[in-house]
Amino acid sequence: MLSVRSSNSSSKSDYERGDFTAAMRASINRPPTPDGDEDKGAEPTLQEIINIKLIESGEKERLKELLRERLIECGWRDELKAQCRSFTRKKGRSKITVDEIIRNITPKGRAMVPDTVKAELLQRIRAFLMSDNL
Amino acid sequence: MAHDRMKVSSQQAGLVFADLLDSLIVDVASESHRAARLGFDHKLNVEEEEEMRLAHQARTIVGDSGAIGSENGNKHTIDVFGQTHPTIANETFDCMNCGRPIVAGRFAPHLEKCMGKGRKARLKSSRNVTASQQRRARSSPISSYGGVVSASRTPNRTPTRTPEEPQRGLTDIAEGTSEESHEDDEKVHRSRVPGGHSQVSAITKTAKRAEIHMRNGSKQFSDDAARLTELASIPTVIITWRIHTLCNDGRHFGGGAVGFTGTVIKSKFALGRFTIGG
Repeated sequence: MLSVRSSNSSSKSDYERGDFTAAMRASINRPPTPDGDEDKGAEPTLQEIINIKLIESGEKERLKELLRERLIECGWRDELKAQCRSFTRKKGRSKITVDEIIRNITPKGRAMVPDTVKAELLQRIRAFLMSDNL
Repeated sequence: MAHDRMKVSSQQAGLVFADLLDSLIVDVASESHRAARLGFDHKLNVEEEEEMRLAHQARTIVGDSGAIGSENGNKHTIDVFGQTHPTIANETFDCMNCGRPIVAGRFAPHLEKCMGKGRKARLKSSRNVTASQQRRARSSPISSYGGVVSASRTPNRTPTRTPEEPQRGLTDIAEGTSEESHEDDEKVHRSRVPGGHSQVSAITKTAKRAEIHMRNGSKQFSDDAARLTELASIPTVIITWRIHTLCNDGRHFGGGAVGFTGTVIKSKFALGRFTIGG
């Protein structure tokens, strides 16, 4: 617990006033230095490992591009943009924030993905995971 | 063991997919937000019904006739020149038999009833036969008419019937029509027929007949007949028709018989022949 000897008479701290002794005296009671996050988690979770592997190999980027292309082809992107526009119109163009839009359209976007696209991507991801995490 | 790994794998794959999808959604959202705030999203203010209209406009500009045709519900077909034709011919003209205005698309069924197999037509013709028989018995000069006279009856009644008729090609009488299509001889049919104009190609004044070949029918065949009567100072002008399948000026009259040629035969006697030929 840090106890501070408040200097009621002046707004300056002990150190600033030049009273070094007083400042040093106060520093004895400071809290111990944090240990540097050693006990944050036991290990990176499986999820994180996979993520790291995906990014390092470049597969994540490829998968993302593939998904983007498929979704544009099937009109998902245009439809989602229309949803954004209608939501923006409802809320008012000048007061809209990105977070509001994201929060509003994320469930819609997740539901609108065609099954074929989803199946294709899942198959590719699974293939990567199988080949890599052995 | 492997099964578990499969399950974990699928689960992880699902998580990875969700992660990818979320990042794409955020992309779309931020792009749309930026466009809205900076004011360069042109579709922001003009949505819903206008969007449909704009989309349709774009498609017409591009010239996608297939899309346009299907939008119309296929009522109008579009040809390669971009012209639209209604699939059902809707031009109206007057039937030369009964004089009623008929829509072209319904002309063939109407003709069937009017002068063909219909019960009423048969009754009509039998009525006309008796009437004309009486009238013929009374007097020989017969006023002009345009229309249909049965061929099989006239030989019995008109002794001066010329033998040339078979050579004229008038004997190609369709079966079943000869007795039934018998029209009033004396009535002048004022029915108008659209199409081309009449062409008087040959008027040969013989002792007993004048002949006019009319192509494509005529709006004024009765007028022509009247004129002919004047010219030739012949009391009667009789017009016979032969319907063929094609109208020369390319218009379609709707399924079945379309267009006709007419042969005017002037004679003192009620004489005529009607054929419906394909």
